[in-house]
Amino acid sequence: MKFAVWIIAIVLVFGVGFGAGFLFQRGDHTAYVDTAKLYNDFEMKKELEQKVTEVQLSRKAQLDSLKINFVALSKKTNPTLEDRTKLQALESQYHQMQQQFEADNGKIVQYYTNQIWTQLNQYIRDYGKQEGYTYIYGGDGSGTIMYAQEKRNITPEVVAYVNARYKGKGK
Amino acid sequence: MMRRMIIGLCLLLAGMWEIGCQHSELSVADYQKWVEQEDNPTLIQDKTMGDLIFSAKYKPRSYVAMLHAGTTQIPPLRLQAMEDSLKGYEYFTFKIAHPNHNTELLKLNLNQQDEYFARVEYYSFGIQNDFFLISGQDTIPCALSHFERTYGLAPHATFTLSFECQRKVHEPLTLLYNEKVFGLGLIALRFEAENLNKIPSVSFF
Repeated sequence: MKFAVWIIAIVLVFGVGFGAGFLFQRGDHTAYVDTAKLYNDFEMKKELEQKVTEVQLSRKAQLDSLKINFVALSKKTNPTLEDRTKLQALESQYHQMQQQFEADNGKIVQYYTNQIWTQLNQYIRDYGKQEGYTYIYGGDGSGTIMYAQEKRNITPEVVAYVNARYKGKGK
Repeated sequence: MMRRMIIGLCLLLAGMWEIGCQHSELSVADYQKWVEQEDNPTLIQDKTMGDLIFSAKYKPRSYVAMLHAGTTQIPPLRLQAMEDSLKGYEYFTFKIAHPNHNTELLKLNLNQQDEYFARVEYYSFGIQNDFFLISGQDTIPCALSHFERTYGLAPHATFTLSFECQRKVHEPLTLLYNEKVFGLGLIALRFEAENLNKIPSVSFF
């Protein structure tokens, strides 16, 4: 009799344990990442930002040197007809270049931003799959997540993961 | 009793040694088979980016020498001589694949026909400037890139790459590809030193 009671007790304990484990497993495993921080801490973003800055600085230098010539010519006290024609040409060239550079700068920023988000999204998908998340929300301050417990913030882990993946490590 | 225990222990250690060194030496034919395994985790690294899968296979020098010889019936001295002639270079096969695309990869997301020819030209010549190998502190440009054209018969693009590089035993290798056709940016595939050091050698006996 005593033996049967023990058996039933053991079966009950294991049954409840397995049931709870099963339910817990099925429960949604969710977390969020601070997307602004993730984006800013992503190595690829820093590298491309550096590239864009270099391109923009070199373009600005070209424009500045053109402007110096243009200003110097415009300050001439008794400009000849040739000077005026040259001045007009320089002015037109300056504005044309300025417009071209502004358009190109916008395009290059857009091109790199798309590259960064394509890679980030892929790495976050891989991270979610690898860590068994049901959802990973993006908390970008625009109302996607109004509140979350701090322990649900996985931004530091995701930043470390995406940077390792970008460098070619792991899977 | 004591003697039996010592013999048993020796046998156990010998067994463990055998298991540990399973891949340390292979015959020429087995070596070639081992390198050519489709899913060899020691030699292959891959990365999914959007719809595309980028993979690279590290090709050990002995294997490249065997390919040059064109036979597995190669005398040891000849293999050694060929391997020596390849010293100072690292070889890879790089593949770009789209698993859900049935036609030529170059035709993926194509806006106009001219773009197709521009891609063919880029993959044949320009792409070499977008491959790099990181070994230690050095970033090495690609010495040779060869695009294997499939003329629409395969939904992937394959490249044979070589880099002028002499890897140090403790150093990993990272293959970098600056992807421009589909606008994905830098793709890095890292081959850990511990994996590269596990590559077996060829045995003739």
